[in-house]
Amino acid sequence: MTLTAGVVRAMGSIRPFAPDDIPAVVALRRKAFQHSAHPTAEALSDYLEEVFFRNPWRDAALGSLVYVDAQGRIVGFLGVVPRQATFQGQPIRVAVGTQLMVDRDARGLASFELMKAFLSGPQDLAFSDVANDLSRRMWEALGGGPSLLQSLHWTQPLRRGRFYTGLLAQRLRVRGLGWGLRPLSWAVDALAGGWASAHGLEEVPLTPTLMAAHLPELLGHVKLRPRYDEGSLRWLLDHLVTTGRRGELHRVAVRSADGALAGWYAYFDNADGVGQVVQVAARRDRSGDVLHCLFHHAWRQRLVALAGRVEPGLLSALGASGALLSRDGPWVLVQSRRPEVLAAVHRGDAFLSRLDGEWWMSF
Amino acid sequence: MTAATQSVQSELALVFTQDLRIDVPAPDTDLLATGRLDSVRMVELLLQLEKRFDLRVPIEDMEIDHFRSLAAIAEFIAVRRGNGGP
Repeated sequence: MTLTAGVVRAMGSIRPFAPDDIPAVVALRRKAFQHSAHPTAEALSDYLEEVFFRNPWRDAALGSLVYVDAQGRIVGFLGVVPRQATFQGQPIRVAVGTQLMVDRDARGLASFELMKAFLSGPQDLAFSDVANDLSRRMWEALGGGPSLLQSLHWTQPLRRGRFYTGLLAQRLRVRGLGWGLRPLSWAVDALAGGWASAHGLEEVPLTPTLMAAHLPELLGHVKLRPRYDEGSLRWLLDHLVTTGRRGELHRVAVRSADGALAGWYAYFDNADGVGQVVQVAARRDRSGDVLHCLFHHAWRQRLVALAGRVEPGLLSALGASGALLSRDGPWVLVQSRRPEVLAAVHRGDAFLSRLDGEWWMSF
Repeated sequence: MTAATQSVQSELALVFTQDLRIDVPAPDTDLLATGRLDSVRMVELLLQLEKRFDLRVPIEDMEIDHFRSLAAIAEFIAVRRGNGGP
């Protein structure tokens, strides 16, 4: 970055993002980022309108922000999606921050000011779950920071032969090694056998109705958890699959033989062989069973491995299943003016899945 | 300017030259208008204030004018430490 000492820069201002600003923000995004999940400006425009102005949690006090320069041009944007949650049974407001972007020709303090305005908002908890190192430092400077536990990622090998030869080829960066070892890895996987099904458990389709009705009882022991209703979940799940870039979404509820709900899972069956887990919710004593069903289901889909973000309630079951933990993905960042809310997150007494942050969004 | 503020200003000048690698010609140079302090460097400055001066600035006190010049920042630090003033 080059300093232009001697050039006098006029300060800009921040105001709420309005529907009329969409074309300018689309242009800004196409200038700031090379890649988009949307092939045309019109498609991206429709998506921005849907996510920021038609989401079921719209709240005028928790809106997205634009930074306007002295000439009245929009040169910065920070998307905000409000979400509902409960803390110790009481409703709280969560604001998910996403898509911070600033015109490279007009940087100045725009991104800092946008983030400061966002983190000064009336929410009880600010949350971001696809953050890079620069965002992490910005949140830290503004009083927030990473939730280290939830910034861990897990990978569960389902076909160990293929998984580890793929990993070896990736680490050694030897072209063709994966293909060369393919017969051996397939033989290893055939000898190892499959992921056994869980006895006495039944799998049924997971619906928004079921999720909304049963989340409080499944996660009754968790202090901070999302508050779902059928309508918003339907909207969310529809948008999760809209762009289809992650593969087919599988949504499954797990019941005991007596019909009692043990939990559920949702994951993308990805074509590259590693599925991405969106959410796993389970009763405290059934997380191992629900994970086992998930792994069996994914194994039957011919996946090589499953990957997800650590939910504290799943940690011991993931350890027992031999999942690998790593800290090499995006950061989960949190900020709150309520110390007790932050303490719950850092203690692992919070359920904030990929469905509850920005991960599901596809810009 | 008090001796305490003067001392803070000298240490702050080192932060700018050594840690932030920003050349500040004079204590009253406008860091914002001249483009010397952008978002990334502002973040680094706040993190350095915490590290070097044990000063964590609450978000509600982060008025941009407190960071407009080296002199203003030194004054802000001194006041926050309780040893500023005329």
